[in-house]
Amino acid sequence: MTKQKNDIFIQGPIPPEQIAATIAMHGSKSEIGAHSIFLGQIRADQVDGKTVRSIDYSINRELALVKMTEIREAVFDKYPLTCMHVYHSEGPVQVGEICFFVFTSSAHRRAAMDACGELVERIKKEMPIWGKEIFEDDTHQWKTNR
Amino acid sequence: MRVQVKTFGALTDILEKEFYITVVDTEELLAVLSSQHTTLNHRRLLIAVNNTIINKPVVLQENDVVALMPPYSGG
Repeated sequence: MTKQKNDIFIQGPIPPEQIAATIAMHGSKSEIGAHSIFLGQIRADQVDGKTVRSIDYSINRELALVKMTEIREAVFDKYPLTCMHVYHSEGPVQVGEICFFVFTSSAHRRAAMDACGELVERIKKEMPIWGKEIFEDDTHQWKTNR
Repeated sequence: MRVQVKTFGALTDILEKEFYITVVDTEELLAVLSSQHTTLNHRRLLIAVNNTIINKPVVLQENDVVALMPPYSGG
């Protein structure tokens, strides 16, 4: 079982190359039979005629690291995972770029898929992260999660 | 007690990101801030004292760190 290092935050967008490299990194782990990946991308939401250009993420880092440890341990306990990797952006991310990356691996597909979905939901609900939606005219509003 | 307050998300449009204040407990802290900034009234907030979320008022100790947080919106 490989547990990642504590810091899940990446300054700015998550580069697609990093996602590819993460997949490649697991090629040598021959017990893995399934990966599940979730990627969150910045959407150009329309609000009152204005279009979102980017989201600027801010984080309560100290609390986030405590919370992430708790979530990680609970998900590892619940599912027979081989690996789990979570990355979230900090700072500005433009429309079309990736801001959230969850990657789970297991021997068989069901554990990887269920764990990935649960991680996405728990992180969105429980991690102290805030998105400031910046519009094309430089005004902003604070994102609310559905 | 003199405590450090850290604010996050939309609260940073209203309050400083970090400041010190002298109060007895979290209830007094919220009352003082709400009286100074009426837009804080009835706003849903999560409060953490030294990185532990609290669900009821807590008496504060010297140098405690209180995080005032609006609902999360990561992802």
